[in-house]
Amino acid sequence: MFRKFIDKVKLTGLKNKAEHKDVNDKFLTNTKTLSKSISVNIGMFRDIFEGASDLVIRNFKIGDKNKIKVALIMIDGLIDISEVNNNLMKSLMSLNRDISKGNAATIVKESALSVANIKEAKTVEDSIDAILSGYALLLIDGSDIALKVSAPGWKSRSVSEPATETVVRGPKEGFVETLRTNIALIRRKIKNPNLKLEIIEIGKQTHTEVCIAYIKDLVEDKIVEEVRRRLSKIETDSILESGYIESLIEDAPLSIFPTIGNSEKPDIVSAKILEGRVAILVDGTPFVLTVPYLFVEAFQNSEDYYSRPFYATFIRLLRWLSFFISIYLPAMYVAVTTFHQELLPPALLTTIASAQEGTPFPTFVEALMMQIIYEILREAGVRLPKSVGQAVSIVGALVIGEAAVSAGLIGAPMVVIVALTAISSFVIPPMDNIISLTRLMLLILAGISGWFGIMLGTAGIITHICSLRSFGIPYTSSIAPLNISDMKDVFIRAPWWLMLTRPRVLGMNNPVRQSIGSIPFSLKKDKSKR
Amino acid sequence: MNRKLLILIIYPLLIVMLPGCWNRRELSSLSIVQAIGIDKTEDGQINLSIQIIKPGEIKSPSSKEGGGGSGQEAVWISASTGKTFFDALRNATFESSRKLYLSHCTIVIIGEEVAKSGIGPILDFWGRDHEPQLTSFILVAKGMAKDIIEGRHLQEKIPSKAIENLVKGTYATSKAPRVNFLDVLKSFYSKSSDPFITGIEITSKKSSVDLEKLIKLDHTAIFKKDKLIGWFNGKETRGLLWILNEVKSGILVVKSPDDEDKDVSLEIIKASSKVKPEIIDGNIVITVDVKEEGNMGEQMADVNLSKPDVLKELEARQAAVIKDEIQAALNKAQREWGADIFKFGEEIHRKFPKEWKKIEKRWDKEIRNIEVRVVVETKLRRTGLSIGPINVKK
Repeated sequence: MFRKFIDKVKLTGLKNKAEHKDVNDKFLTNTKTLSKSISVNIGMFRDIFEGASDLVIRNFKIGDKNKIKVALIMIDGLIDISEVNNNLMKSLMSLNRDISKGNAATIVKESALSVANIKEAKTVEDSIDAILSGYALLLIDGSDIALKVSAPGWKSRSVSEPATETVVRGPKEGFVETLRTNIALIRRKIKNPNLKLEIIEIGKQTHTEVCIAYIKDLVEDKIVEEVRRRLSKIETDSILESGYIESLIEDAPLSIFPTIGNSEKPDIVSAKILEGRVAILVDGTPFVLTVPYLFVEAFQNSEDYYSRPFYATFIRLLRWLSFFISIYLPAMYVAVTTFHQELLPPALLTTIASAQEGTPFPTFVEALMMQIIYEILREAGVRLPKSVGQAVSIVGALVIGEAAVSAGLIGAPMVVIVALTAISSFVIPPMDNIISLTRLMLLILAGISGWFGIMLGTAGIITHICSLRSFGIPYTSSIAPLNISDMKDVFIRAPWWLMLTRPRVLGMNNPVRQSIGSIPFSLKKDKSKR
Repeated sequence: MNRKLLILIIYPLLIVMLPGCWNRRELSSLSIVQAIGIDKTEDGQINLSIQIIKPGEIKSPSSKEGGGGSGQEAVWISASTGKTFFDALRNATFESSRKLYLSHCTIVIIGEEVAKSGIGPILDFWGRDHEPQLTSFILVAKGMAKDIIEGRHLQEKIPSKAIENLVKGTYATSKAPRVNFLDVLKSFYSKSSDPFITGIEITSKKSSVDLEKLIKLDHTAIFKKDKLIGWFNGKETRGLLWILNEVKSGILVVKSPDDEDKDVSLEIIKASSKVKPEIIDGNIVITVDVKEEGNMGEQMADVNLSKPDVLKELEARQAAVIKDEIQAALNKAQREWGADIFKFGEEIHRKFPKEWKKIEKRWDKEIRNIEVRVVVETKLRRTGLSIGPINVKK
């Protein structure tokens, strides 16, 4: 059924494609080369950027005897003006060499500019791109080649600790909105020429730079190939956040389970790259995508790997437990108290019965109501400004708390259940939205047919996630299909000296992570020491 | 497309509807039955006393009323009469505003009269219906079951909870058995065995206000087929439990070897027994082989127990007491009543199936003639923290 649905979506997409092309035609015709006459070029850029008040065109002349007209075109705010003043204008204006129209470009490029990054732009499109990406475009009369002088200087956020993935121990830096900075943050972690960073431009209107990062020889080529193929298939007008790309290249767009991971921290992304994954960085957002993304990754936290293995293992098991609690608890409560009272120990049953005595709603309605109120509160807490946020928690505590119980609206155990569920779901932030949805689904099933419904829902969920693939890798990998060797990093976090191989599910291209020699104790009894 | 969609909708619906699991009941619409007492009316009908929890009275101390409920009784006793057990149970809906819920009924008490006339017909419902649990404890009242159900216990708010704990606590003395429905049903289905059921009675105590009915476990009801035939006292009950290998703990009181007037208490630490049928000279002989280990728990005499021969003597006396208990049980049940509560028949059937075929038909007569040999081996392990007698100045 879904296949048909997708096909239908594809078809309507195809129909719209024709119209889509027309809109961009004007832009596409600009793949022509620049003119040799500077005035023609300037006129053309004026036309193209008509109405752009932040465009700066600075005309001046250079050279000792033959004054040659040059023009600097740049966007105010995207370039560092002092850099342009000092290293560009100054050196150009004080150029006292004899130049002609013919050799001006070469001389300027080779010996006049004290700027490191200079590239040539031959086409109009290339030039426009350069201007819009923070280059100062230098047009020289008599040359059909423009010089792209790199002098980027826009305002950007400084590298700071991300709000989403806080750690106690571990690097505190997070990605920012600038692609170059983000790439540099990864480079700083992985100082290896094999770290490949391929840049693709996506978005007909936004021309967003998207970078595919991976380590050659370590990643399965198939995966990189697949990422490239899927990215190149994207034809959209804008990419404002990596979420756009995520939803355009994911394996199962109709599933509530994400098959693409994201992170805001360079150390996490680097670790994933080093495990043989591919990272997709998008300009304009600190959220970096990583593929393939497996179900078990949600239970792994960067801090697991920085702290000692025993506590990390305990916490990881706790995360699995919390996952099941947060999904099943309300459903189980409803099922047990309205369908299978015999399952409860008598003492517990009487306690619950005494709390339910006199509450007006059926248990299921109570649970559903509380669950929805909780979701409302949570959303309110996220969206509100921090200064108002406190009010939400105060009011929230009243709505799903003591006040509701003493008013006789809700039984006290239900409040405990909802609160416990909420706390448990906070333990696994990556699974947050999945948990909310599956919990609601299971709750409704439990309300309809009790434990049987829960089992039905569970069977459905398991069948579904087992059918998922993320870039060719089964979503539930390591557990199903079972891979004993990879189990060292699923329910437990083995000590580093035992993690001798990379995750096998991600390919066996270069499986050895560390040699057996890095084990901190001798494997055989060393007799020579005695 | 449409057909597939139809299938996708219909299948889950079928899965949900077909098993017929739909039995939704809110907790506040249930009467949680804790105990049922079964008696007979004068005209032969069944009279039930049903102990139902009042959830409102068991509220947590933090609730509005404060101090846990309004000080009323936590249970309510409803009475109903009917021609059959099920009929009587359904008739209770005339009195109870909520549907009776039997899954948490842990105690069923059978009145002496009912027990004498046969418990089989009454237990049928318990094994057949899906709600009652076979792990519920069954007891026989000395007198009316109604009195037990109405009896109070000063430690527990819910009297049936107290009875449950009493039955569970029998391991400490091994002087009363712990019997649930499953055990009774098992001996019904067995070709030879007869059931025995824990006994319970009321001890009235005159309190400052009125006569209080207090509950106490005492005696064991012995059945032949499904009819009550007689009662075992504590000593005989333990004799029975020795044979069935169900003794867990308990105190054996023996005379002190040095001072015959004073007693020594020995605690049973480990006990096991085996019933071995043999054929000697064409006759079936059953050997009950009991192995026991005990500690000395107390002595009331001034005896130095560090001497090995004193300990040996104590061991021998311990064995004698056990043997005596077993003989008491055998004499009454086997010789006098011909009731096979010891599961001898099953053992013979298992070991000598051919011979069993011959005696199966007249087993209830044959059992009286079977020779039972009792072999008891005991050991005294420790004498506690002190060796000699406590030093009382004279």
